[in-house]
Amino acid sequence: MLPVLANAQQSRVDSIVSLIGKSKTVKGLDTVMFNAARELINTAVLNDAHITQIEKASEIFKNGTDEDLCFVIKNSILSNFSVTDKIKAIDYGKINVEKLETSKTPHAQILRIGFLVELRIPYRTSSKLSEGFTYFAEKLNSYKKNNDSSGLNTCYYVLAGFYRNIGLYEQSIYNIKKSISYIDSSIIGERFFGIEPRNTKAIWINNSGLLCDFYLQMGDYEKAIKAGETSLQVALRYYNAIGKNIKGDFSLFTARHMANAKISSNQLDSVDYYLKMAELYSVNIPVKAYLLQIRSLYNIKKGELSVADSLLRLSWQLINQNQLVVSAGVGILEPDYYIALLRIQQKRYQEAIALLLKDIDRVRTFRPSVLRDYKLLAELYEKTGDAVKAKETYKSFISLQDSILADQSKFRTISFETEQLINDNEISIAQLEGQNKIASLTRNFIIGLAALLLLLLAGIYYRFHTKKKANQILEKTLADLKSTQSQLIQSEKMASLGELTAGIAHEIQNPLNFVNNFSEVSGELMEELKGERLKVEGERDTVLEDELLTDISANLEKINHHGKRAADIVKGMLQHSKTSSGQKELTDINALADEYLRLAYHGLRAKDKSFNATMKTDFDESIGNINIIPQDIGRVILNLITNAFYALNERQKGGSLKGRNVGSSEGQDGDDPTIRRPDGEYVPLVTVRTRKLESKIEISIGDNGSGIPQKIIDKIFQPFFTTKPTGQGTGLGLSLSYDIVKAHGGELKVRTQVGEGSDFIIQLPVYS
Amino acid sequence: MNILVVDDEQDMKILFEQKFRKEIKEGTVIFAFANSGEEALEFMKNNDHEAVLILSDINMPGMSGLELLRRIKIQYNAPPPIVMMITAYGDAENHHQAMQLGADDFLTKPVDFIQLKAKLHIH
Repeated sequence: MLPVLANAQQSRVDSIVSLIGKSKTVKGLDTVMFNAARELINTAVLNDAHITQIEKASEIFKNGTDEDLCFVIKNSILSNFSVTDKIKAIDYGKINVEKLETSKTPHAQILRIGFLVELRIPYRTSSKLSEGFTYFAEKLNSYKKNNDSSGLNTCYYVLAGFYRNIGLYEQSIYNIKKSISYIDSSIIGERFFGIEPRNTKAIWINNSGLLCDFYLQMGDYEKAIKAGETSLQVALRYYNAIGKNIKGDFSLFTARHMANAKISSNQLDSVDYYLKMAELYSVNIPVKAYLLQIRSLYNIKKGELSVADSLLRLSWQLINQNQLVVSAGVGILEPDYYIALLRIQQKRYQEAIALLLKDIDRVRTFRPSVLRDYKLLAELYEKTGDAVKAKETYKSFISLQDSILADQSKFRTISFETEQLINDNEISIAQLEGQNKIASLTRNFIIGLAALLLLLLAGIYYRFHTKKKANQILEKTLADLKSTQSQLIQSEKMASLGELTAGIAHEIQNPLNFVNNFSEVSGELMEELKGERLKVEGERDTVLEDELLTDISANLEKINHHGKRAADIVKGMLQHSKTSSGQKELTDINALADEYLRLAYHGLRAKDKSFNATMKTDFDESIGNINIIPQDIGRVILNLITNAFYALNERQKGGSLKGRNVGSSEGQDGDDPTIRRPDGEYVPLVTVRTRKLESKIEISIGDNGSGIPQKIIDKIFQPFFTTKPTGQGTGLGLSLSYDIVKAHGGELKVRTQVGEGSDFIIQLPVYS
Repeated sequence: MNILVVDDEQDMKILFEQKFRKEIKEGTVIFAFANSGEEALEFMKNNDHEAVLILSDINMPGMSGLELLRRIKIQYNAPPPIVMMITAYGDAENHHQAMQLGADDFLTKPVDFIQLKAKLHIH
């Protein structure tokens, strides 16, 4: 700062200090002196030393109820910082809000609100907007906990302004409506030294005026006009009723929005009425400068270009004389833009371009204004044939628009989080005092309607959501069940394959052994043959030679036979594991039953070496070949035999139960001494029998295990029913067997006697 | 030496006859074959003590080789025939069980005939 200016500022600070000193008199506060001091603070350029000086001077009010006056001075300092040093303003404002939250002075509440309201300016005009969101959201949350409607009303009001700043007008509208809903009787008192009004009616008038502004910004002129009209009518009636001179009242702010809305919607008839009403308020220079802009726009619309020209010059004069900043809280002071509009009307495009460029530089921190200027500028370049610059300007326009949109989306997220924070501590909205019937009715109506809508929406959402959720659960369960089912079927298949594996290993081992042994012995025979042929004539044993050759030839057949046998087993195993081809083929039932009996036996033996059982087969040779899906019926037979062996094994382990007398079975080996022991000891027995009946064949697999108790007999064919310990049986074996037999047009039955054993009977039609 | 081979695989007979062609011709061994434990006991009943050596498979349908071993060692005890077990399941448990039941030797399939002949010579 130049020394001259520094001296001027120091003398201004000296005046402030002197005025504060003079304002305290023996009669009380001299408000003229006091307000003059505040006025000077507002326009001074203050450094830290100046602040210290002023704060020290105001300490004369630090005792008792006078302490409020210290905060009034500090509020003026904050207003000053809001323009000169925004970061300092934020810190200064926050510190004083904290102090006032615990202060017990009579006007502490009003002053705290005043500080909060003033704090919105530095947040809005600096790069700290998102921090502002956080700060006010936190404040909102804490006021909600304390049921502080005054604080809540203010926070919502400030947040509404923040959203307006970034162009999220819907959020502004929501927040200002929220703010209105917190106007209640706890907010009392008149203005305190011009610090924000703390009167229910006044706040309502102000907030509904803002609603008018937000609708205006959104371009919804109809709603803007409606909100503005209501606000102004209430204001006029209210001030008339209390006999207060409306001149200079803040509520006339709304009049300029109304004028704007009327101009924008081309309802020029009533513009003058609202402009005049707005001008009544313009005791404040920045507002005057701002209103000159609006009036000039009105004149431009009416074609009174020279009037507009002189008004805008006047506006510039006010700005320059009073060193007004771009935004003085009343609106953006940008006469150049309006002059550009005027020049366009006069077709002086180059001048308009120059003015817009100047304006872009001036309003650079107010992106909506810059965006608007870019658009107009690009159009002008186009109009004047400067395609290159037009393109460049459009590029700037798009890039700025993108950055605004990006910020908006960022703030939308913040807004969402803020709402969440708020909703966590939602309190019921207090009733508006009865004296303000219009306000109360409107608010209640809005709340009622909103509640009704919310309830309706909640109902619809709940129904939709529960249905959707239930459906989702059902769908998921069904999918899970399907997947589990297929897994279980596969695991059942693999389990029976596991049972087969050991048997198969044994069954393959044997033919492979023969292949090895026969090829080996053939080699030996060949050597012997060679040896024989090396002998001299006469000594050679031709009979032996023939015998050797016959044996070798037979061995080759054996090798071939056992090789095929091994191959067939592998083939069978693969067939078992793969999904049934569904192809029926003529099958030797006896051979099939025999094969699976052996496999099942070896399989079980491989698992449990101590297990032993006698197997009896009784095959009806007249049965012939039956048309079946061999791997499917094979699976059924295997399953039934495995179950039979399991039953025997369980009985053997249990020991005490007497099985049915092996000898009493119908088998022809009934008297076989190897089966019935002389000591009468239990001999586990599995019988596989085939029979040809009239139009069907029967395969029965019997065991002399413990039998199946009556209470579970109905369940054994049900899927997942098993008597085996968990993890040992899938409970699908019999169920799948039942399905397979049914699919063949046959029947699967069981005959059982507890303590005697069970017979499972497969009946298949011969011509299926 | 009278040898009874017990195996459900009928081709074992052919294999043994070829492997012991010389011995059979020379009359040093006489083979008898049974396809099951039951058949083996039947043979033993009918040809008491003729088989001084029994070569038996373990895993057979019906009576297992181990059961046959148990019964033979109980029924024919003065003096009991030599019983050698031959099995595809050459695992420790089968071996242990066979030895407990009084088996004299244990062979695994595929039969190593050189080894078998050497063992027969000892026995």
